[in-house]
Amino acid sequence: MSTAVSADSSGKPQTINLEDLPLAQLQKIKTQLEEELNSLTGAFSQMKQAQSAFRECKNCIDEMTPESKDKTIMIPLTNSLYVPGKLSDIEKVVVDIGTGYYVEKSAKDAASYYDSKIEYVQDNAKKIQQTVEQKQASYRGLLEIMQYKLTQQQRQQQQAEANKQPGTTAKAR
Amino acid sequence: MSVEQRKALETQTMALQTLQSELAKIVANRQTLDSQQQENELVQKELEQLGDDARVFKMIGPVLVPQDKEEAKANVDKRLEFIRDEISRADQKVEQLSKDQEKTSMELFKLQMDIQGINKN
Repeated sequence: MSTAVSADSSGKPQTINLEDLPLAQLQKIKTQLEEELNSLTGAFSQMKQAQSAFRECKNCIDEMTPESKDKTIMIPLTNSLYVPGKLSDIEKVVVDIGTGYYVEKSAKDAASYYDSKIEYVQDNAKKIQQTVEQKQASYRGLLEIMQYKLTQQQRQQQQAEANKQPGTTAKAR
Repeated sequence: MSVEQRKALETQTMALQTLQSELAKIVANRQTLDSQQQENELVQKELEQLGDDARVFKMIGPVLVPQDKEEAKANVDKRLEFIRDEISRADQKVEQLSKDQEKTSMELFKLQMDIQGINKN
């Protein structure tokens, strides 16, 4: 997702000093930033979930040692229904490679497949985290500017009131 | 504010809102397409790396059906082609809608200026 902070009639985004913008517009940018931050943190936790799912697969492969051959296991038919079975082949596994395709691999290949997946997801998570940090920094900056503008506005108002009625002190509202 | 102006203001605001929601829908669609493209590319890469004797299955309902590797590859390639087409179509639509949106909000802005101008006089 890209953010053109502002695009004028010429259509090309310009860098505009945030301090020059009116508060209403800053408010808009703030909501936009909040939305982006939300979706990014959501994506980040999805990455973490995917990573732990791959880790679990990898662990299962590592658990299948030569000793586990011919051992009786319970095979889940559904989440709550199991039948007994025997591990007849510990050399070959079938791996989900996405979009409904599955590939038969040796246990060793499958383990390295999951390793590369974990790394891939890790890279993505890192990238997302970097973007999140950047966005958070600009979000904090934006908040500061808004705060500054708000106090300035209040001060101006107070001054205007004081000028209008020189006799009375600024009334508390 | 005259009756015509009120009407014009209403129609323009409505138009802007429809444009905005349509744009949001297409952008969301575009994102789904993006992730589909990524997933298919990963599958393509994986199929590319397979040895000649590798066995490929396709999940159809709850069962795994053995499939020819070349067929699977062709299938994924075709799907990717289709997704790319869809993405470029979505991009065009996004561009068009953004332009329309900009135009409508400009008109709306002008209208508001007119109304305020009359109010001031």
